[in-house]
Amino acid sequence: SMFTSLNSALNWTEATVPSGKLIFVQDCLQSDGSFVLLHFLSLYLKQGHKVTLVGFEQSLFHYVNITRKLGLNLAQSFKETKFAFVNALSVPYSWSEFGGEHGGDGGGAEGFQPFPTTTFTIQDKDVEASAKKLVTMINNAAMGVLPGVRKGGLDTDTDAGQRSVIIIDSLSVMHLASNDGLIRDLAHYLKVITHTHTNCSIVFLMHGDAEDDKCLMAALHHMSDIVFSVSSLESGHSVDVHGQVKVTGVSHCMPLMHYKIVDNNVLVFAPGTKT
Amino acid sequence: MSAPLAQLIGTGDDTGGVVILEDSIECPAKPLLQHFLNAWSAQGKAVVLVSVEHPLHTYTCPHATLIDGFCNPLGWLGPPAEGSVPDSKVLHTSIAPLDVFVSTLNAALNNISAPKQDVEHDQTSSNNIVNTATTASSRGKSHPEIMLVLDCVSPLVLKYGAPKIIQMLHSLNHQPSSTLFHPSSSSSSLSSSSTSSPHHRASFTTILFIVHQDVHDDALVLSQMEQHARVVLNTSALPAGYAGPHHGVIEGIQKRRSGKVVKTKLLFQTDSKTLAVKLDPADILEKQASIPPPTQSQGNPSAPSPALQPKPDPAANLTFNLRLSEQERIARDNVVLPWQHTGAPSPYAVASSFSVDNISDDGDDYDDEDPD
Repeated sequence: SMFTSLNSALNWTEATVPSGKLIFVQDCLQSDGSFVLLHFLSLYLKQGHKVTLVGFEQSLFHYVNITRKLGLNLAQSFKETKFAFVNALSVPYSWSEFGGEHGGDGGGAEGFQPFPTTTFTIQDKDVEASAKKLVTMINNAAMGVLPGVRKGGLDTDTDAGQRSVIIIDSLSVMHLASNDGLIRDLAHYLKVITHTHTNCSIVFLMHGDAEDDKCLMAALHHMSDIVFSVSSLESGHSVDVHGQVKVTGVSHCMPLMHYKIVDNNVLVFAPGTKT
Repeated sequence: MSAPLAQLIGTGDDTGGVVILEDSIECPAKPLLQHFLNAWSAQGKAVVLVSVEHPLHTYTCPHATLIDGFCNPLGWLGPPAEGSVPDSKVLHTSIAPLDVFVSTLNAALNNISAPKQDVEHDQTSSNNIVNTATTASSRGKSHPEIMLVLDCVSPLVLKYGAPKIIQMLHSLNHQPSSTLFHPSSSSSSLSSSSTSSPHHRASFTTILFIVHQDVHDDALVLSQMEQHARVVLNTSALPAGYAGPHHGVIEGIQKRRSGKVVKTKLLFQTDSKTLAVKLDPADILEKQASIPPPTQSQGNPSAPSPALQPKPDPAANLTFNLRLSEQERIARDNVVLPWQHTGAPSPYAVASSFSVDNISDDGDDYDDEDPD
């Protein structure tokens, strides 16, 4: 799988990918944490597990191009009922140009669409209802009920032991449309889903730049089983080191690591060591 | 109860009330909560365990009344699917609205404190709580101690505000000298309904819960809760440089009935496999703090002390001379500057009734090398 150095640092093998965990990735403007999401995407797909990707900030075109560089074919994975995409970018809010009554499944997802996707829209007049809908959608995905994922796939004997991951990129968009309380409630239900469906893990990304969000980030830290905190170096910009990652909740793992993003890989190493 | 634990929350008459466990991301207090559950279970006390932040199966508390506020606190997931078998040993509740949550707690409390002959009646009710703790609590005890353990109260405080939650806790907990249920009194009032009248209402002897310090942006929230607590236990990370087996520090403040406030400091370590907690005195921390850090001279016994080490001479090793000979120094000191008052009139001075005196003070930057 890609990012072998990250896997080695986390002491994860192909057989011991996290299961039934709520994984929180916190990043900032100076250091983009999306490489951690791509790591999970690649890790699970290459092991033949199911992946559901909820894209709030990037389009399907972006993910297809990025994963192609990593040796993945999302269209092929969709055909094999291993991958599903929820498009939350094209029609983000009900007041969007193509939203409202004219929206619907795939109605606003114009342009690049190599396989069917599901559209998700935030109803600005009732954001809580949208959060409930998202939870229901994710709960169904954990049970294997989504376009592209065989219904009841996780419950059949052939899928016994097969794991799945739901990746949300990112929840900050929901936060902008709502408040801290709703995000805490949403994260709580994501945790409930991971405990109800122990074969399923959920990875969500949130941007933690704002000082006002400090308490919300702490609350999400408390709720999550594993936390990746991606930030810039305290000493400033460096050509050889692009940032640092603090990992909590993983046993026998270095608490602090430096990383450097190269073309198709991410190199992770202990602070002060050469790449 | 172990001596360190008793030291933290008191013994004898100094028990009961609200006990707060304050923690943070760096030092979670969940293992300590389990430690309390283990201790109270070993003592045979009646425990009502309410999960809000973590699922019930992450706690071990045999014979406890279990209330699940984790799985569906807001009702977003709807009712259980048809055909699913509800766990009769667990009572499910939501945290919204708050009165539903409080009603569930009161129902569990009344079920435990009801006399044994009323247990069969309560088991036919819609609550369907299998209360094995009743057997222990009503076995010859006139004042059963009932412990309420909330795994985390921060979600409730964030949702409803500290004053409302404090009122809720106060209504659930009374001091033993006040309205405690007496089994010798009439039991017919309990058999009539699950919500008994306030005059015969039982109360939780001790309420224990965790509060996350770093989740509440208003320091007033914690202060308000601490005001109404009898015991406040604060967990924090160990100081940098500590190399022992412990994982954190507990600093406790206990308010006794006599008015005395007792402070306690202990170290704790958690077994990574069994999650058992061991408490030790914090003397070792103070001993380490009293030992000064090693300096460079301590590493080399023959080196002189820093005060005696010679200072570097900036005028040494130069190609030009910055030093003065003794004659040059005397001549420089004897130079009288024109603006300095010498007491003798100048031969060129014009006779006048006033003069200008230049007297240097502390603010003047007088330089021997450049006096003018």
